[in-house]
Amino acid sequence: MNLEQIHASVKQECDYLDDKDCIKVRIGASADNPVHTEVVSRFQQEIDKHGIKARAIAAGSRGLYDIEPVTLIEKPGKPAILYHNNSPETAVELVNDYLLKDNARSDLALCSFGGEKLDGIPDISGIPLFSLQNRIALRNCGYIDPDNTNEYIACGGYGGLSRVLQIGCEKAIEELGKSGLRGRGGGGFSTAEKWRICHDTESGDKYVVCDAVDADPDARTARLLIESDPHSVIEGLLISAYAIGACHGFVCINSDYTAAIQRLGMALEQMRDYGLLGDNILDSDFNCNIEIIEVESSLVSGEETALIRSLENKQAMPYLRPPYPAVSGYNGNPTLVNNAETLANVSAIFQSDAALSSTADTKIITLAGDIAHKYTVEVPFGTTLRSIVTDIGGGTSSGKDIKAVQFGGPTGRFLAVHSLDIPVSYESTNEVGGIMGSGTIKVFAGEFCTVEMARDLMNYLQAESCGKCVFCREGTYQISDILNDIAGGKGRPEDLEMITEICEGMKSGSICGLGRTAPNPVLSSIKLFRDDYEVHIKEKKCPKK
Amino acid sequence: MSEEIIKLNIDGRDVETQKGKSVLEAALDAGIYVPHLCHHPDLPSIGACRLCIVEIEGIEGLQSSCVTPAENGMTVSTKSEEIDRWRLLAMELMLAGHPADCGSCDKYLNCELQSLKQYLGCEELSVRRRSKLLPINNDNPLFVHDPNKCVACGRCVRACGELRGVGILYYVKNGRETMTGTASDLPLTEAGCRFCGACAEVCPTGAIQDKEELVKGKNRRNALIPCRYACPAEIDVPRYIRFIREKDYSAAAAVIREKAPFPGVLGYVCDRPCEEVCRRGEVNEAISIRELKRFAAEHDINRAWEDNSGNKNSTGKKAAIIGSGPAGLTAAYYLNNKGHAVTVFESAPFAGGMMRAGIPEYRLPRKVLESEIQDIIKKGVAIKTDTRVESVDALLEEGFDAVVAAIGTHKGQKLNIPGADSPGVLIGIDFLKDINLGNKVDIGERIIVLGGGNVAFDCARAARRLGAGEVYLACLESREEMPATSDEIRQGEEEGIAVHPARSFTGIITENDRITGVECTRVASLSFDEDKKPCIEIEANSGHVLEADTVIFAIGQCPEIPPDFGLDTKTNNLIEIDSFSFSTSKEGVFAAGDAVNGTSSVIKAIASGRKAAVAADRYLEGNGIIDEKLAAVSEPEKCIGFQEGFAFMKRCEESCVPPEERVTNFEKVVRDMDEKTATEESERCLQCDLRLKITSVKFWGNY
Repeated sequence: MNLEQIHASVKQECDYLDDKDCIKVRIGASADNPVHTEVVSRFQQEIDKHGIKARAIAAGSRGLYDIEPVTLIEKPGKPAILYHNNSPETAVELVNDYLLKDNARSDLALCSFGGEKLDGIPDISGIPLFSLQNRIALRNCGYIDPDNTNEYIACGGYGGLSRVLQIGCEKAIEELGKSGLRGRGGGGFSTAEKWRICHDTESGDKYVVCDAVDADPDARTARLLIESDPHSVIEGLLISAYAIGACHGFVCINSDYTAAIQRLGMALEQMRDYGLLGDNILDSDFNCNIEIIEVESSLVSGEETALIRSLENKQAMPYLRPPYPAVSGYNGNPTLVNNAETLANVSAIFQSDAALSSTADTKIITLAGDIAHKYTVEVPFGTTLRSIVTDIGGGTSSGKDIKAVQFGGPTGRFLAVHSLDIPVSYESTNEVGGIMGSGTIKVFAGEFCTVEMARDLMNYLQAESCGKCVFCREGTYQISDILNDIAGGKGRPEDLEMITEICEGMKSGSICGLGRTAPNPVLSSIKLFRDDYEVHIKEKKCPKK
Repeated sequence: MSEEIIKLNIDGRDVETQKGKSVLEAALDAGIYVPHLCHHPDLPSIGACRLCIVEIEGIEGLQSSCVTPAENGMTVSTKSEEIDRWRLLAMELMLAGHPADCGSCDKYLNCELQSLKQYLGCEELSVRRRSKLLPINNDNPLFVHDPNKCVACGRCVRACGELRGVGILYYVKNGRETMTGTASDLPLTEAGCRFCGACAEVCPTGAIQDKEELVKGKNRRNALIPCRYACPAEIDVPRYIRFIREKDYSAAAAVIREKAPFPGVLGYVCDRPCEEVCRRGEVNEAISIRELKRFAAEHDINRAWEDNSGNKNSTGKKAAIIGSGPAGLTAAYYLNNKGHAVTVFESAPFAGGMMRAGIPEYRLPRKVLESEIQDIIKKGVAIKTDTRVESVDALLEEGFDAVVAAIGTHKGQKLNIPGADSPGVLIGIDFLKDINLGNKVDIGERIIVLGGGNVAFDCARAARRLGAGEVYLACLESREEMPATSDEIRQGEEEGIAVHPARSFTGIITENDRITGVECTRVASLSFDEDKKPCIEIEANSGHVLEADTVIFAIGQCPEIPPDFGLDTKTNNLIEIDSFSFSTSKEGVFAAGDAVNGTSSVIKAIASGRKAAVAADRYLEGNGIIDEKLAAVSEPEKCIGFQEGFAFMKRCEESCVPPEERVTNFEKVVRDMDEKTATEESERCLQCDLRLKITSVKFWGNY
């Protein structure tokens, strides 16, 4: 089937999409939300009961976990309204009050957009949670029904793939280059450059891999994308496959993301029905098949070389590059590994009008730690950490003062509360010696022992170290023990120097990113709180206790 | 490896290497030592230990030279302050958890880690030391794993996975410690280990070692390939088993013939010292080596050995061999191979010695022996039967340049007890000879054989087949100490022979010139003095009579030496030889086999015959090298692969004709294995010889 035929079918299957008189009620929440299903069915029941021309749609999560289910009601002639914290009871109420009548229930509403302002309901532009965001990768999350491919297609889905099939691989890679997209998996390498290297390698079998593994335990990026909008990632994967000349793809995902895996499976099935997978995709000569691979998540599984090893059924342990996977990866074949967020960006780039030169300049951020709202959001580069923590995160959940913020995941640097004005971007994080990593912002607040904090983190990193190379394996162990001694008042005067020495060794001598960046937390913690450490060492006690 | 030559400079020296080699390999090949641990010449490099770091001009940072391909024009420094700093730190970090006491470790002075520690001058550690306190695993066969000594270099993982293709070793974590081990900490047998020993071979520390009792005090090759070294003739057992597995039976037979001209005979009667020490026996059951040998011999259709054996030009020298038993014919065969003209003198009407005269047909089918003797004759050895040599000097005067006396031990002994000369008392060896000659033999109804060795069982089982109603065997030794091989004892008992061990015999009772029984006492303990004479302690008041009408003595034999033979002898009439030169008291005369060593086994006689041939050849101005290549020499396959349930594969059953069927005739008792069984049995072999093919690592002092 070509795209036109698919669109015709979509129109038939989902007539409500084009029906201007039909009220769309999109209830979004993540798969583990306890009331989501009930709220959706209550809405539909109430709608049916009153015979209203409306449709309740079960959408995915918007990343606003603590206020979900979040419901978007699009009533013809009215601005769209977002409601938060819906329950089965409020579902009934909203149908009766707003769908039947005209009471928009500002007490239940979050904001509105796309029309005249409503009484008591703020406009979306006034809510920092939304005004600070620019949702490109997350564009459909919370809006579309992830179990219904038609909804994705109706939003421009697979238009990107169609266009790429028309313009050809070289032009596609060129256009990707112009967008400036950099790998969102933490490396920040030019995506187009990586595709070019893979494209240029002569070989019979090439493979594309989508890294949808949240290696960082606090991150929810891959989970959000696959649960709420799997097609945005799969379309990106197909585009990457076509661009480099591959016909096999893998999606690697955490084995405990059961709902996401199920959704992914369903999505692939539905694609097959539409001829979007398998032979002659969209009636072209592009053939591609995709396999789902469940991966046991660990911090090191975020390394592309470790991921490739686990695809080969070996221990997930990184190996030295060169050879780069783009040249020789899975079973020695050229393998292109892209992060799920990167691929969601890819499909967005090619879906947008070619005339508009889109630049990929947003990043998905998850908030974690002592923060009021542990949201997953997407902000443009340049947004400061402070505004994200304060305006989106809502400050600390405990009410205590922020002591430090760790950015980028478990191997990210600690930043002091006065340094939070740095903007989110690859350049600025590099400048302060940090990493973009998973884009997680973790807040530590209150009075606690900074040495213990660094020690607990290093213990975690030591446990996550795969154990292959000396500096990471033994270095994390030594530093853990030294920090433990310092925390317990048994530190020696030369310990800080020893830690620094070992850290330098880890940075230059480790095989993979985990070992190279594992020194970040402890080194930055010493830099920020040197006095704390010295008191522990000299006076053999904790200043906080 | 490509042909292209790469030129680079290392530490000021111009070095050449092949394209594809790493900087480390280029340095080591040129004799420049660069410390390394996780690198091993036979394994892919991983750059984990960071000891081999070097500075390369134009490239920032320190590179692990084991994973850096050598490029033209590279300028490499292997030493600098910066390099030393990180190298030392890497070493300290590895030593932090490693036991400090080198002296108590079996790997002391043979340990790469210790050597590196010495080289880097790493004594006082600035990092924190710890004891890993992990349990040592002694529960596996053959190998001991001590995870406390493991430095996680990963060599064993790569050796098991990438070199051998088995892949049962992984990096594992036990608490906070990283080490290598099996999945789910399964015992090696359950994990699919093939016990090839590659892991122990490449381990640079004492983490994986052979079990002490298996290797202590022994020469390494002997300990690691015990079958080959337990064989008196040093037959290359792993090599012929490999040929059998590859279904090249001709090549397998050729390998056996490289050391012994009697593969079939040995396949029937060898007492298999190799199986006693087979390392597979530590895993479950030893390989059925003798059965496989027989299988190869009997399936040698192509006789690939024949054209490759011997073929030397005539030396013009003449050698005489006295006796055509296994020792004599082996010496004859090899001397003939060297180009000497060999004549074998045999006093009996047939060739074969004890193989023909002593071993009954049900143990060794006549045609097998005759065919192998024919092979020897075909090669040019002349055998003169019915010719007894009375004196060695006579042979020398006849014009023979060298003589090998291999006259065996054909004189059976009797005990000097009352009644030993009565009619109805037979000498075992003569009894067997008569049967083998086809002579009529008179025995009674109730036979008692005195003796506990194979000859005694031969007599007993032969008597059974002649129709004796009851056959007993009584001997001095306790059951555990009986010198007969276990399969002889078992098959004998199956045939209804009652065994009475631990008896001492005091007299043979007769009545009217007919034997009625043997007076015995029970033996409380038995030991032998330096002259091999028994010291018997009898149980008081244990006298009893074992009833019988025929007594067969099978208590020992000695050589029957003609009065004018002319050679010095020692106790028991054994011919005295010098253990280095194999020469007897007469120049140019050598001796071999049972005549020198006392009654022993066919394989020992063959081995002795080989040594005599070496000595005689040297004496005849040859080079004394009788080794030949009869089968293709090829590198065995390093990648042996994973085999499900390998450690649990049972030893093939050695099946025999049922006892009731076999006691009525002298047809062969053993049943032969079929091809499927032979293949399966050969697949059980641990291939211990592969281990010694792994490149030895040179320590820094050798560069």
